[in-house]
Amino acid sequence: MLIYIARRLLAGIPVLIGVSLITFILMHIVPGDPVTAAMDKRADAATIARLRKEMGLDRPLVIQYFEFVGKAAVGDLGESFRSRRPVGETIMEALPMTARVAGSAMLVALLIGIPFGTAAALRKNSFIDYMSTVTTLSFISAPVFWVALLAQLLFGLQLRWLPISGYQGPIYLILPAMVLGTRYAASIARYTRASMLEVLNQDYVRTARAKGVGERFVIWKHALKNALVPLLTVIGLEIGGLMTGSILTESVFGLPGVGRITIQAIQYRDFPMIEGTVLFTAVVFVVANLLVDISYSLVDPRIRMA
Amino acid sequence: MSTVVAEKKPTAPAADPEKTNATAWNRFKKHRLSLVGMAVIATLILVAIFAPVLAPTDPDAQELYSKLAKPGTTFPEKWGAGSFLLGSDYMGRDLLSRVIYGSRISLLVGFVAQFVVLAIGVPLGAIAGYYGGKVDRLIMRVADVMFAFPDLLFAIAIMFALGAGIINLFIALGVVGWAGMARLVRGQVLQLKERDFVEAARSAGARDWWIIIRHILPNALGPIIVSVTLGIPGAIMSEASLSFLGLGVQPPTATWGAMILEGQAYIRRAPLVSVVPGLAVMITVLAFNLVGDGLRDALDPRANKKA
Repeated sequence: MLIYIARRLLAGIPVLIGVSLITFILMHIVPGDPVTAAMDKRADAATIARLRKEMGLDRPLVIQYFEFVGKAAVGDLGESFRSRRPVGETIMEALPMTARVAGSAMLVALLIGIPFGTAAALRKNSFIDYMSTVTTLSFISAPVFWVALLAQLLFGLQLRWLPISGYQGPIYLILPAMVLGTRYAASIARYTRASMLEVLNQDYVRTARAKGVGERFVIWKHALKNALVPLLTVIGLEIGGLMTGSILTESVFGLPGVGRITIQAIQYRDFPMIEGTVLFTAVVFVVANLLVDISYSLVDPRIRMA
Repeated sequence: MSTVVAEKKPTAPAADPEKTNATAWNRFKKHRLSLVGMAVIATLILVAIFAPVLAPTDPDAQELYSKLAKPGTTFPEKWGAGSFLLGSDYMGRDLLSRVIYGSRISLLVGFVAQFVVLAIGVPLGAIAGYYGGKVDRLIMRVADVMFAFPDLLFAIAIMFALGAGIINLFIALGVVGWAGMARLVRGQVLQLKERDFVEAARSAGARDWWIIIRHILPNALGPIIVSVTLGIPGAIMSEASLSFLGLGVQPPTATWGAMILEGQAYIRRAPLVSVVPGLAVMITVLAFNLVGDGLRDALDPRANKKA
C-alpha cells in the first residue's frame, strides 16, 4: 500500500514540472512582455528598462524559469503589480472563500444527486427516470453563470429572499452553493444511476433478494454501498469542474475567492497574480486527483494490483 | 463513411458492415430524445446558415433612442417595417437578430474546435498507440500535463496569452481538448493493432501509415464519433464562458456568452437580454448531449450496460 502511494506521488512530480513549465511559457508568449503589456503607454523607456531589470525580465528565459520554479516551490509566487502585495498571501486569503463555495456546492450536489440517481435507477425507463434524465441533462447543459443570473433575478430581485452579491455571512453562500451544486448534482445523479443499474444486475444482489432480504436492506446495504465506489472517481473528476465553476460563480456573486482574483488579475493584466493563481489552481487539481486515486485504492484493493 | 472503409478489410472477422450499421441506426432510433436532439441541431444549422434571411434586421445596427426597448416596440423608422420581437439591448440593437446571428459563432466554434482536436489528437494518439516505447511515453506525458489543468482555467490562460479573437479561440479549445482525444485513440489502437486483420495487412507488406489509416482507424470510428459529438457542446459551453468573461470573440460580434454579460447590468430592467441567449446556449448544448448519448449507445456497444 505504502509503495503504491509512494509511486503515485512520484508520478505526480513530472506532471507538476510540466504544469509550471506551461504556465511559465503562457505568461511569456504574451506579445511584448509583462511590463510593457501592463504599463501605461506613456511610460518612458528608462522606467520600463528599470522595471524589467527589477523583475529580472532581462535575463535568459531558462534562468527566469528556474528562478520561478525555485521560488514557487517554497510558496513565493512574486508580488502583485496592482496591490504590491505577495501573490501567495493574497491567494491564501481568498482560499477559504473558494473552499466554502466549492465545499457547500459539493454537499448540495451529493444531497440532491444520490437520491435522484438512485430513484431513477430503481424505476428504470419509468416516467420518473425519463424526467430525471431530461432534468439532469438540462442542468448540465445550462451555462452556470447564466443559472447564477437567473437565481439572482428570481430569489434576490423578485422575491427578495436572499442576498445576491458579496459576503457577510453564511446566508450569502446559499445561492452560489445551490447554483453550482445543482449543476454537479446533475452529473452525480447520472453517474449514480448508471452505477446503481450495474450493481443491481450483480449476482450478490440477486442472491440477497433470493435469500429473502428486504428490498430496502438490499438497496441500502448491498447495492448503494457498492454503487458509490465509482462515484469517488466522479467526485475527483468534478473537482476540476467545481474549481472552474467557482471561478464563474464567484464572479457573478461577487465573492472574494481565488476564482474572482484570477479574473480580476486578467482584467488588470496583473501578470504575477495570473501566473500565481493559474499555477496554484492547477497544483490543487493535481493533488486532489492524486488523493482521489489513493482513496480509491483504499476502498477497492483491486486497483493497487493494476 | 464506414461502409466504404469496411469493404477494404475482408480479413476482419465478424464484419458485415451493412448489418452493423443497420443495427447501430436501429439502436439510435430507439432513443427518441436523441432524434429530437438531431432535429434541433438540424434546425440550428439552418438558422445559422440563413441568418441574414431570418433575422429581422442587422444584428449590429444601433439605435440609442430605442435602447432596452420592451418586446413589441416598433423599429426606428430608418430600419424599415418591423418591431423588436424580443426587445433590444443596452445599445438599442435587436435582441432576436443578435440571438440568431449568435448561433453562427457558437456552431462554428463547436465544429472547428473539434476539428482541431481531431487534427491534433488522432495522429498523436495513433502514433503513441501504434509505435509504443519512447514516443508513446513522451506523448502521453505531455497529455498528462494537459489533464492537470482544469479545462476552463487552461482556456482562460491561453486566451489571455494569445489575446481575444475567434482564431485564438479555436487554438485554445483545440489545445485544451486534444489530450482526451489522443488518449482515446491510443487506447483503441493498442487493442486493434493486435487483431488478425492488422497482422494480415502487415504480412502482405502494407506500410505502417497505411495500416493505421486504412485498417485501424476505421475500426475506431465509433468511439471517436461519440467523443466528437460530446466535445462539440463542451466547446460551445467554453466559448460562452470565455465570452462571458470577456476573453472570447470581441464585440460588437454577437455571441451568446457576450450577450449574457452585456445584459447582466440591466437584468432588472430588461431580463430578456440575458435570459434569451442563455436559453439558446442551453438548448444547443442539450441537443448535442442528447445526440451524443444516443450515439454512445448505438456505436459503442460496450458502454451499453451503463445506460
